[in-house]
Amino acid sequence: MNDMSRKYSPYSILLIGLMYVIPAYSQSIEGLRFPFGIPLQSGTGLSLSMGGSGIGISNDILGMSENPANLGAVGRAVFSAHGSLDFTNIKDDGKATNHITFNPHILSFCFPIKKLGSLGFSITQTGNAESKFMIDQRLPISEFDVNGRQGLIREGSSIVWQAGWGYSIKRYAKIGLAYQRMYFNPSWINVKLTEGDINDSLLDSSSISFVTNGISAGIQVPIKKLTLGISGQYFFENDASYHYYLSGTKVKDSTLSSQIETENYNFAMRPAPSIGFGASYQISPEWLCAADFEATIWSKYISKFNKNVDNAYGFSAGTQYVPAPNLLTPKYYEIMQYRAGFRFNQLPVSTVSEAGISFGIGLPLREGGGIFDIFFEYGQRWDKDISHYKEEFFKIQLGFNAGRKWYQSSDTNY
Amino acid sequence: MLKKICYSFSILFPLTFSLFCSRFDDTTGLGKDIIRDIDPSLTDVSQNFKTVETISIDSAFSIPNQNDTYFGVHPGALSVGTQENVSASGYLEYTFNSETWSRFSLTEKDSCTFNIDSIYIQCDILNKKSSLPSNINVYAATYEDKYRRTTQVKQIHIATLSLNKDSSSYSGPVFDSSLIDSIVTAFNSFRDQMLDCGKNDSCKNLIKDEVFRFCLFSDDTCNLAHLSSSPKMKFIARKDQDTLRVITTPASINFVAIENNSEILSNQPLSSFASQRIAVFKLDISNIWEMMDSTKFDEMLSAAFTITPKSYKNMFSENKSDTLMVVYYLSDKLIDNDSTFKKQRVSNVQKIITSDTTENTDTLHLKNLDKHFQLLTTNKPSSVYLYLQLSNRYGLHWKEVLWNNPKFKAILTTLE
Repeated sequence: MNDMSRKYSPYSILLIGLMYVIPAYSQSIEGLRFPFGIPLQSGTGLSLSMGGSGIGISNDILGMSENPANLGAVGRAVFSAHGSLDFTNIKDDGKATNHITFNPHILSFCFPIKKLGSLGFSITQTGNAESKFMIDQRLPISEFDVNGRQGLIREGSSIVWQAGWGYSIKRYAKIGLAYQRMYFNPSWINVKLTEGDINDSLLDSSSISFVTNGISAGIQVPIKKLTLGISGQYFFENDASYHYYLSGTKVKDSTLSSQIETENYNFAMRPAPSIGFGASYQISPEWLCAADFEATIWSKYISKFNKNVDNAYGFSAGTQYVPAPNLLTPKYYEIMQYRAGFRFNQLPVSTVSEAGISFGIGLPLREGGGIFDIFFEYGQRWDKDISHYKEEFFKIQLGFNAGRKWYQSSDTNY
Repeated sequence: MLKKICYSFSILFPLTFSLFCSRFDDTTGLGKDIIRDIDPSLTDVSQNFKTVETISIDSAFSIPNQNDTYFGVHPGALSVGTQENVSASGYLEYTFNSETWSRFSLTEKDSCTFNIDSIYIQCDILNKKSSLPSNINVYAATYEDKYRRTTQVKQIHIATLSLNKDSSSYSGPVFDSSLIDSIVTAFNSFRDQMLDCGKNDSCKNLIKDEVFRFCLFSDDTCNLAHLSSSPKMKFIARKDQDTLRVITTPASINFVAIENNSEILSNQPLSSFASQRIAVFKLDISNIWEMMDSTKFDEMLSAAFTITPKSYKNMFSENKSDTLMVVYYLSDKLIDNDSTFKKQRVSNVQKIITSDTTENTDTLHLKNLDKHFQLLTTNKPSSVYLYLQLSNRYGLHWKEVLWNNPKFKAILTTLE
């Protein structure tokens, strides 16, 4: 492992550096209407650069990201990390604003346990709820130059921790099962403030603290060059605690305080379950193509807030090309993995959708130790009821996947 | 190596290009149609802010309206004399403890004789260029005289300090032999107690300090002296055949300024540094509560006043413009005690203003009064008092401001 850490440390430093350099705020006004903000695609570089199609791809570097059945394909210790530098351009009636954020997607580690199959652990950011909407206007007051500003700020993201087990049933199928623990702690701040000669603010804030358990399961069945996959996840209902507090005013008979909690209660909450179907086809050693169909069943979502949601469906397809995968002494560009993909996703509000195209490369690391992925995605998010508004996004996605065998299987005969 | 460079370039170039060629915004005001779906009022500033500038002033006056109060006390400073109907008297408090006695080179083991031949008091002058009182009288005082100057304080006259030829200080001998005797007695008592304690340090620590207090007055009705904060008490003492010279300074000083025409001044909205007179405006704010009750604008987000000086005087400054610091406070209660005022959560504003003129540029903005108003939301009093006091920052200049009526500014908002 020391060799591995030396080998991949430049990439780790780059990824970690980006996480700190880029201020952690995202921007999607559409996301304000979604219960968990903008949903982030799960997956590592291999699947994400193919539009997000990974349910039907059997590859150990996918780990637990798309389909826990991939754990059944793990024959070595595999570490994966993936992050995305997201640029968003919001356009409305000819005006535009630009935003940037870094979204860490996944950290996962999987390893085989001999005949018992494989174990995997991961942490995934599944949604980004960061948004800041603010408008201002000069207020009519004599002798002072004062701007009134108001807006809505939402902060927070949803994180899922997973621990899974996978098993390969000979050549017939691979199965996987994972325990999930989801954390979601968003806050909404309704801001009213004055700026200029008079500076005051009134913050009307709410926050939710929610933790729940869930399971995910999947299966992959290879049929010659075709692999079919199915995976799904289900979260259990649990209590979310709601806090409401005010800053910058006096409430009831309490003394002046910087922050006053005025309301605190629990309510039932359950994230939406989801299911996905995928298929991949190894056309030749050089060409791989894959497609996924996913559905998020928002009708099963339970919450006191953001109830105006609808089932969301998504489709993705992509391909990978390796010029000379089996040459003994290939040139470097002949073993690079060239990938491209397309996706279309409905978002939790029925009128809102997003689509994107992705293209990029997987760079094999020395001695077959792993793959460094770099790819780009361009897409748009729109509401069919608001024709003059759209959100364009451009993502620079970086990831690396490293693997090493810890032991030689005793089953291998020469 | 070439590959590594290629990889790094392929990653860093688009990142660097994107980051440096774009302007990124922290917030956006776009997408109002979507926000309208969440909360329609969030897309229109005028729906959430309302400005109010009307308020009526019931009366304008200043406090206190009589002397013999705790107003006009200036700890840490010393002024004596009279200027423009304001009389100042000083207070000195000398503490004699083991550290003081050790400076006489005497210890508890000494069996020598100890006597004080004479005591001199010397006060250096800070405002040397001004007209000064010719002398200052020193009287024995009690603790009660520290913050109030009663008529009884002038009973025991112990010294007269004369102005030196170069107008740099006042000095003079203590001619009251009983004071000298009491200091010698205090020393002997201290030495006896130290001998009784022996080597018991905790016992020595319990020996009480001796405190000698004095007040300084001047009979001059036209001139005033600002004195150094370290007036010296010089002792010439004898230990057996040796002569000792010891100088000590007071542990505490102050001066109290009293107006000779306070009844007249109290009818005007006047703020005065020396007497710490506070200008007060009684304001009728019932229309504010009515507006907050009858409309959705039920939260006071910002509240402020603008106010201009009608006249400004600085008695000891030759500068045409000065920095003025005004401490202000809003309450539904009429405060008549300066120490009570100092306990309140006051705000302050500073501004460079010009002497003896009234210009628009001299407008002071009294901000952050929304917090004071928010405290009143429970009782909603129809009247409140706006207090204006001059701060003691920026030197000992005796400033005085007569105020015009303040103008009220408030921004109301909603909490829906």
